[in-house]
Amino acid sequence: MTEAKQKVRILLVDDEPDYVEPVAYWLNSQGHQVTTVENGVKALESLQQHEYDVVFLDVNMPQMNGIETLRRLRETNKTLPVIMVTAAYQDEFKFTEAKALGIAGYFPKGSPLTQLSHVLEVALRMLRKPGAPSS
Amino acid sequence: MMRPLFRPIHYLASLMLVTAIHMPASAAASEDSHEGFTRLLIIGLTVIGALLVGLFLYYLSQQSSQVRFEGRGPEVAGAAPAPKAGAAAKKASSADPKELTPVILEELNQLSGATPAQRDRVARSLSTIVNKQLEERVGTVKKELDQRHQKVIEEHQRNEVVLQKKYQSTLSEKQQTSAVLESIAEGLVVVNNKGEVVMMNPAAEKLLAVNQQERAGKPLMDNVQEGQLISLVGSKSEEEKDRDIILNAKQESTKKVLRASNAMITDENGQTVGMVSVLSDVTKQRELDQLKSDFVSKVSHELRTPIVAMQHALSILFDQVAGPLTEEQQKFVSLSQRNLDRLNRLINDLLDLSKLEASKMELQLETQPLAPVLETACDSLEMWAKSKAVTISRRIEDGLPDVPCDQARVTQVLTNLVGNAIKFTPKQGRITVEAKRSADGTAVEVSVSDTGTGIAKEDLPKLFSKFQQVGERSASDIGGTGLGLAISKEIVELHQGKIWVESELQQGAKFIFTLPLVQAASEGADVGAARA
Repeated sequence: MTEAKQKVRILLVDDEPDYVEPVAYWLNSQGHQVTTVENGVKALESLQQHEYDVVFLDVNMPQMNGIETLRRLRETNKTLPVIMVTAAYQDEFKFTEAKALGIAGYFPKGSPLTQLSHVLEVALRMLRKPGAPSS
Repeated sequence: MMRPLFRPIHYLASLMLVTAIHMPASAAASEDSHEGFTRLLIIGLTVIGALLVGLFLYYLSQQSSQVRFEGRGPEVAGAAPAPKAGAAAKKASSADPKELTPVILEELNQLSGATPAQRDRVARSLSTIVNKQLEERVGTVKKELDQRHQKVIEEHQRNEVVLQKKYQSTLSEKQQTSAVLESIAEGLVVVNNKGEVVMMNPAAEKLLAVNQQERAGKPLMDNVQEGQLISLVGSKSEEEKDRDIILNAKQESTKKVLRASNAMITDENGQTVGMVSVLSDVTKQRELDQLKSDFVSKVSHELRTPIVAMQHALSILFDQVAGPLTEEQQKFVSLSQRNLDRLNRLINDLLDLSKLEASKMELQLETQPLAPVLETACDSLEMWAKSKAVTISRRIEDGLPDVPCDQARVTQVLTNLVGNAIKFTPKQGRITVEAKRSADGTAVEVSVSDTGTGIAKEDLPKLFSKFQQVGERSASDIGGTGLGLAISKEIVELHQGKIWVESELQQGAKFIFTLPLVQAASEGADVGAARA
């Protein structure tokens, strides 16, 4: 919880408001600044207008899915840490594709919220250590 | 015949008589009494001689007629004139029994002391007897021969009938077989041990989009579009009896999936001489499987999303992030969480089962440290354990090497094992999760031991089968589908690892599984395909 002192600017991209709300609430409670958008198109817009430290990106979304959003993002930004949020098990998640594009980690939806701190920590370590974002 | 024979006899007799009459007359006129006596003697002798000659001639004539009469047979002797006596004489040298009479007569003539009449009679009766016997014998022989001939003919006919029947049945069998082969929907391909097509039914031709004439005698792999028809011949191992072939046929734009069931053909020495492949079009089935799989994943997503939202909301409440809770409130939030977790596991189990049954479970292997995986699993169950006052201790060996594994799946296995341990461990119990190198150093060994009720020896074998729950079930919180261990086993085996249990009743249980450090490449590559 040492990281909690550092205010991290997070963009949370997910089409499921009931999922987004507790997650955003919890991240806020940890002292982070959370912005939420409901799809990839809006995420790319928001990313152009504001500065973020980390992006939580849902894989399954209407309009533009997480992988496509990631691809578009990587066209302009190679270093921003992105954490893919997957369905409980990542069967449908094209892991290799996302990895090739560069991700900082992934968070299975069923995991407990406390796990978010762990994932976030890993992602931020990457940010502090400039280089390839992919592992 | 009679007349020409008698004419010379008559002629001779009358000549002699005339001579005899004229001679004494002339002699009596010119000679004396002495001369007259001599003359009379000469006349007498002449007469006797003439008589003898006549008699002999008569006998001859009789004999000649006798020949003919006997030739006609004894019963109607002399009744009708024989048309040809010469023919009989010509045949005398042959074995004709009817021509024996003259021979017998000849023999009899050699005998003395019998009158011609007697000889004749004897000859007749002998000839009759001989003839009769001969006829009988000949008849018997003829009959026998006839019977034999008949038998041979009958046998031949029977054989012919049998052969005909056999031919017919073979023909109809062949027709039946080929009719069956022609009409079955499954494709049938027979290849010899060189991999050349020996036979192919129309269904196979259609399925493989080839023509038998083009195919016959050619290796099956010839002219296959871009090698998409995986060698049927290639599957020599016994294990690979069934395999799926994916065809991108040129004629039909859609992809085809064929299921090939192969059987080796061996001769009496057990030598492989070829192979029969039954091809069935499973494209529709595969499409249905895909639909089912899509449906399952959709349902899985739809079911999990609200559960996850509730879990997160409840955890915020429980962790008092949204403000302090009274003890009572905490108790009920905790209860909600526990049951939500349970519901989540149930759904996951069911979905996993459907995946396992469709052999759709695929691993996302990534070489990674096991520690975070262990932590995740234990963390997620910490709450439940706490509610039972069960402690979970973690022991991870220092310098544990990274392991190729599917993080989510291994988490699932651990969650299952730790969950089971919590279930079967009474309050104040202890659970130990341990990870270390295996004894031979080729794998990482993960164990979950508890101080619970343990498992009876007789229950151990059924532990890893579906829908099995063993042991005491008195505790109210023991629930579940009974699928957890079956799924865990499947997952561990997909990782090429092993899972087993060491336990005794009332001694607690220890579940151990291994994850090899190196995945055998061939198997790892087509985990999904090989299981089709």
